[in-house]
Amino acid sequence: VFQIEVVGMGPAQSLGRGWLSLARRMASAYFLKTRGNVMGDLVFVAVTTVFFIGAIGYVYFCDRVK
Amino acid sequence: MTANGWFQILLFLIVVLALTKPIGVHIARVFSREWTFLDPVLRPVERFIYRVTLVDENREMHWTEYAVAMLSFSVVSMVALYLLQRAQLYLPFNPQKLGAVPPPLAFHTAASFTTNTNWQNYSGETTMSYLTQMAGLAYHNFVSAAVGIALAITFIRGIARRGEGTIGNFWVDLVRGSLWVLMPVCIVGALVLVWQGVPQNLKPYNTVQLIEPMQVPEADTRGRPVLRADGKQLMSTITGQTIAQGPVASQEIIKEFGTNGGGFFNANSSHPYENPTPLSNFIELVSIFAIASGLTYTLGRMTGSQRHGWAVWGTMAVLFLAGVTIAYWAEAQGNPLLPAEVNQHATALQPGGNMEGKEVRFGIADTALWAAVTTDASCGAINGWHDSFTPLGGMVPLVNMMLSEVIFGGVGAGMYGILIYIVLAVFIAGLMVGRTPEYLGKKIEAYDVKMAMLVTLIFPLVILTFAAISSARGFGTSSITNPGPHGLTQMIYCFTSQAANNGSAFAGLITNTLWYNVAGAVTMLVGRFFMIIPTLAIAGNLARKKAVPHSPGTFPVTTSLFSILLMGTILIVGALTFFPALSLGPILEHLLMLAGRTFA
Repeated sequence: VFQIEVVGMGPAQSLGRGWLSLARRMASAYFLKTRGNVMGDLVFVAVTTVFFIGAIGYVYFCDRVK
Repeated sequence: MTANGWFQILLFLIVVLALTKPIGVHIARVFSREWTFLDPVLRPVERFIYRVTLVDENREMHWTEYAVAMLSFSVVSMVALYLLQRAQLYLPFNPQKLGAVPPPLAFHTAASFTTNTNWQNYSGETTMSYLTQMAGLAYHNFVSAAVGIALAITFIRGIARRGEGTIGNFWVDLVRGSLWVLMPVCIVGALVLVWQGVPQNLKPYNTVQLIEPMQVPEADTRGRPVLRADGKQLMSTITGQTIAQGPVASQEIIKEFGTNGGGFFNANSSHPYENPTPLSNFIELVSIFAIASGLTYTLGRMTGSQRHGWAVWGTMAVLFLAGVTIAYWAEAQGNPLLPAEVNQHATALQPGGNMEGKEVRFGIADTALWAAVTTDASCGAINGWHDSFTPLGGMVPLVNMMLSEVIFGGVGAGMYGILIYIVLAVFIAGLMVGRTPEYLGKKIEAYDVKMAMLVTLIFPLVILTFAAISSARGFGTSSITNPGPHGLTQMIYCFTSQAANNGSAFAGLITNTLWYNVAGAVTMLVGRFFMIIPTLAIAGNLARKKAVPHSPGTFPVTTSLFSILLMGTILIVGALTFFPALSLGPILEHLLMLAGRTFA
């Protein structure tokens, strides 16, 4: 009914564009077109950041346990 | 149970055993920076990565520096995945024009893949673009697995080193694990899966005309059936079907080999494009255990006690066989509540037993085997619905995860998990004989045991706390689709799977809600990082210690007595912690089933 095609170069081309290029496109697409959800995103990025700061604090807590 | 079923289970274990030494030797050589046959190709790539990222490959790290590097890497990766999902509509490789993933779901998914859990509150084929699948999810499949391997090697180094303050370089371990261990096998494995029929393309989905129209039940946005005024299910007629495809093979192999478990499709490895044949099923099963099994040999080789490595392997193998036997037996018994005229006996024409939620092409044995393997390891891939298992059959995957997934376990995670249990086991042995406990020449002291207890206690704390809140509040109970003890099991399974970084779903529970997305994400993050940090602390502390000579009072860790003690420690800690919850869930459901009681 349909054909399954092996395209080995697809992922390679995608990665070849480079992470910097991807980040630039993501940022421009995001800020130009996703304005309505910026607040929600800030909340979750902030939660993530706070968690990892807490985890780094936990590292030093474990290091100080006698 | 059939002879054919047991043959497949034993063949699987034999193949895993045969792979243990070659994989273990390879991993040991990679992380000891000895020559391997891949060096001519990969060493220039490695040097290039260090030159670009300004990493000094000869600089070693204290455990705190190693942990902070690992956390920094994880937070950047997690935020990048979050943003990738949010912006996917405007990025390339999205032929279906799939929209931005909602913030709570994107947060949950980012946490899920960063922590190697891969619990999915979404259907891959209707939610994630090809770019998100490849550059976001598959990327995390590689690096989260590489982080796990790095941490296991760190712990092994901690045991092997004498009087050193460092445990390795996180960036070097990450790169070497990805390049030397994961990438080569995945390139070959993906091609093998393509040969078996797994798609690997970037084409839009196909739409095909059905030979005859089909009636399908309507569901609301939460997946619940829509009822008509007369109480019957609302049905709709469809005449065509969309066939999802994409770069599946490349993601499928690392999903198993890295014990990640996140499926390209919602149906995971029961989908014919993820797992088309019995051979692909077998390859994927072996892939799940391959690295974890090999790491036991690496442990023996790097610590200079090969017999200890095999003693750990033997312990894992016995616990694995116990789990798969119970699951296979329970599923082969069938459902006693079905009418007598339903033939549940195995014959040449049917697998018999409880076939609800199972693929006919895999049958009882392969589904029970997969359920045991995927939850012994922290994989989470499924080839049948655990929710449809009999109560005792479904309890096996749950218990496997409650034991912290140390029965082979996730890549790296299983090894450092069982090393924590070994620390506890030799500590108990030391108490019994009245001597300071020793493990492979290292004294196990108060600090090590305190850190081991932190690891042991954080795990049930996060599971039971979130499961208790969910079962007591409306925002938790409203997601239950099966009342009675089965609903409680769904909840406990949900948080156990996420805390253990397994990712398999019991199914049935509606988890794409604000509560389950946020609580699940926190559970996974705590379950991963708050257990890793004390583990690294033990590794750093062990590396600093000098070796003590072997004496008649030293507890041998190469004997069957050690294996029995280790098994006892694992089972008792797991049983004492979770038995009450299991009693109210699957055990009660089993007893009620025998009494003929069901819940509508």
